[in-house]
Amino acid sequence: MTSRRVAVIGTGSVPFGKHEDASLEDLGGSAARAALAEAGFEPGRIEAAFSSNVLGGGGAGQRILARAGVHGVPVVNAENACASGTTAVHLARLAVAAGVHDVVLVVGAEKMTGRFQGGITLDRTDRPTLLGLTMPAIYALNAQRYAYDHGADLDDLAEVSVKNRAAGAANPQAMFRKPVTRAEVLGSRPVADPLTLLQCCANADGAAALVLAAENAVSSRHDPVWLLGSGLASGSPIGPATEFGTSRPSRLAARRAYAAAGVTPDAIDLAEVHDAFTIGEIMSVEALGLAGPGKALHAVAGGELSLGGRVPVNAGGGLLSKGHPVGATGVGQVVELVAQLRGRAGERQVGGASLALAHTVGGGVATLDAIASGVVIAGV
Amino acid sequence: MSTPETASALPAARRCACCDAAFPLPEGPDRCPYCGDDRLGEVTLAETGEVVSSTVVRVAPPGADVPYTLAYADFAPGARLFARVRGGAAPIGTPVRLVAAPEPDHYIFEVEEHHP
Repeated sequence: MTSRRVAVIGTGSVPFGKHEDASLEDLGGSAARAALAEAGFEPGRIEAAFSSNVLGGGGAGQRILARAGVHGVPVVNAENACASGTTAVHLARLAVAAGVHDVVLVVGAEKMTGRFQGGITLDRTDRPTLLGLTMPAIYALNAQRYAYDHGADLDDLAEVSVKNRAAGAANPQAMFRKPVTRAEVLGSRPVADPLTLLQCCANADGAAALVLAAENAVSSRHDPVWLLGSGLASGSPIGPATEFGTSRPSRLAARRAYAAAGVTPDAIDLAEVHDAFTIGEIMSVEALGLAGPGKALHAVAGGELSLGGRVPVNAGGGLLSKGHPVGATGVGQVVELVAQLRGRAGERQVGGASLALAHTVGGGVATLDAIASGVVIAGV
Repeated sequence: MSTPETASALPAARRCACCDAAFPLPEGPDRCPYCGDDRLGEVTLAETGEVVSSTVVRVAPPGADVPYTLAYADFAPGARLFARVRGGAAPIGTPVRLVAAPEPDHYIFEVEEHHP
């Protein structure tokens, strides 16, 4: 299949955090208008839109886009749990690459404040959820198995929080901007052994948006960042073949994204990965091929994944610092990649970055090892 | 928490002729939950299985008493089951017995008292 080059030419976001007085439509509309303004395009230039949202009810995309003056065009509402945003980016990229549209908008938005006591539950009817298998517990089961299989020290997981919160301290958009120590992480409230509160990301409100364009619609003033490839995969029922402590859906999504982009993991300069929980970053980094099996925790502790290290992971602070407005997260990661690849990431800039990767993976129904995982690869 | 005295009998188990996975009803009454095949034969699961992974949950949704232990455990031939654990922590490798329990548990794991 012939395919056209696809660029990000506009980005916008509402910093993730508590926005008690803003509605879902307010949040998404603001991000969408900001992305249009950065691209220098009127709403009428948008030929189609891809919206990601999980909790806002039917037609969230249309309701949001009305606030940005985008009417009448095809709108696809994408819901793939925590991978929804990446799913919307993936679909938008394919639509432009295939020549169906020249200019499209992606908007991810979520309003979570006040909706939950504690963690999110996407399906209250499956047996594991009824028996109390919370999201942190799912990740905790993976952490226990990871440590058992690789002889890892579970306390070392705290180093993921230390790294990402230090990175978040340098990100003006982050929800949490105070670094934490290993002792503070390990001494915080136990949630599901071995995970403590400071190893779990926070629910948040927020939005992020992108304007994507085909090469023929891009001009030099756009400072384009090219979406070189993306991939999507889904989970499988947890069964006798499930390997806890690894993320098969992430591995599948990564394989597809690398193939589409024609690059290999060793070429990646930086990555934003799904650190909803500390062990999530470890499993993801290995699934993405950025560290070998059983090596990611050592890589974190050794500084390989810190700013200035071999391949900085979550130099923007990750979900652990930025919060996790589920439908917005994957789009927000691409906004961060664009800032890095344009060399505009300020204190958190990864020097000489030319190839970057974003990754999400969504769980929520405990009978599956995940709902979906998405990977996007961008470059300049 | 469930007690064996009030529990119904252990749910009958099935084994898939296509993928060899085994599972107790009601997890997949008509079709294999892993591959969707409907060629299911009756099978008897081993009374004792081995913990694949477990965690002690200390923060739970409103209404649930904490802490509680959750585990996945493997039972021959080819069943990986999820349940609450009675008897405290159950580290990976711990032998557990499958014990019937009322809904929504259907069954729980009981830590074997004398394990190596």
